[in-house]
Amino acid sequence: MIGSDNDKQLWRRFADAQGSAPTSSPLEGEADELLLAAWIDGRLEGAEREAVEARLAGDPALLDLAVSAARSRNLSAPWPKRAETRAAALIVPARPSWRLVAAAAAAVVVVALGGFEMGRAGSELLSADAGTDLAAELGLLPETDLMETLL
Amino acid sequence: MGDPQGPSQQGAPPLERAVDLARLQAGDKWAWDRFVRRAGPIIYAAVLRRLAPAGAAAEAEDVAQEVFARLCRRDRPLAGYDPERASLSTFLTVLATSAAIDHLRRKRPADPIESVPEHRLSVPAIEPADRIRIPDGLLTARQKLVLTLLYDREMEVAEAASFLRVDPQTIRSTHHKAMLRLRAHFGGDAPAAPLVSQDEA
Repeated sequence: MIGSDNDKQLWRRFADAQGSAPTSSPLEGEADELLLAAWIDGRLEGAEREAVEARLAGDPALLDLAVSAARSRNLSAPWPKRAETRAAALIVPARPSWRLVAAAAAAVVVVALGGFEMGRAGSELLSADAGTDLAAELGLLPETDLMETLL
Repeated sequence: MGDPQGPSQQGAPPLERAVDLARLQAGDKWAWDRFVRRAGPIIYAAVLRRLAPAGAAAEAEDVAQEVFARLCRRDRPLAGYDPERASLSTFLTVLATSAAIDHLRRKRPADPIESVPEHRLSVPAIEPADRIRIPDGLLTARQKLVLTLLYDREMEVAEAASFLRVDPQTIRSTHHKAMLRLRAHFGGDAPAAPLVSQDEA
């Protein structure tokens, strides 16, 4: 142990005057937790580091959390399979939204209608061509040509 | 976030390498399942380490679940995490330790005041002369923290050095300078050492 008993007593006189430990949670949200994690990782510099260390020196509950987290940092424990299943179930597979389903259905209808129309137009064209060819073969003129001939 | 194939990812701790943070934060189910599988043992260990000495090891599983529930409570999983600030494993360890401490605090029954012996309610008499506040600026935050670790938490020098990620000699030197300043300010016989910056301390 470093320091003499006198040093310890001297420090105690000041420490006792710093106030009692807060009883509420030492951290106030994820920003605080991330800041403490950054400090434990040694990623803070300058004023930011000083601010965290001032809080640690004045807040025994926060210091307790920091010491405990720093000691647990590289630990790993066998994690029960049922716990893993429960945690995994917190997020369910994303279901397609009704907009997506509607868009897909609309696309199918458009393609089907398009195909139907193209097929009908194609068959009409085919039958029209076939009729012209047949008339020509029979020596008949198309209706428009007949009218022009008569006039 | 860095490129998963890039050098920053290669040098990252194992958890960071195993987790696709972009997909995870986008709510991807596959990424979440993989994250749970990798992060579970880390969160569980931190919770267990805190609960077991209090005889509450059997509750570690539920507290670990609370941590996971908290991680996906906002609009996207791990919304509060920024990989530029801290490593994922340290962030999760802080969250898990904090959840375990909160759990123990909630669990502790509040004694009804009638059942508390009178001697426990009494406030120890402290002579006014003994209650001395350290003036602002007398010690740096680092010096106060070092004295707190050594005297209040009774850490060994090596442990304090490891906690603060500095050399043990730096702890000794910081302690020495802090005590010189305290003694000098409050009427001791030692001369005041110059107030040093955080980095020097």
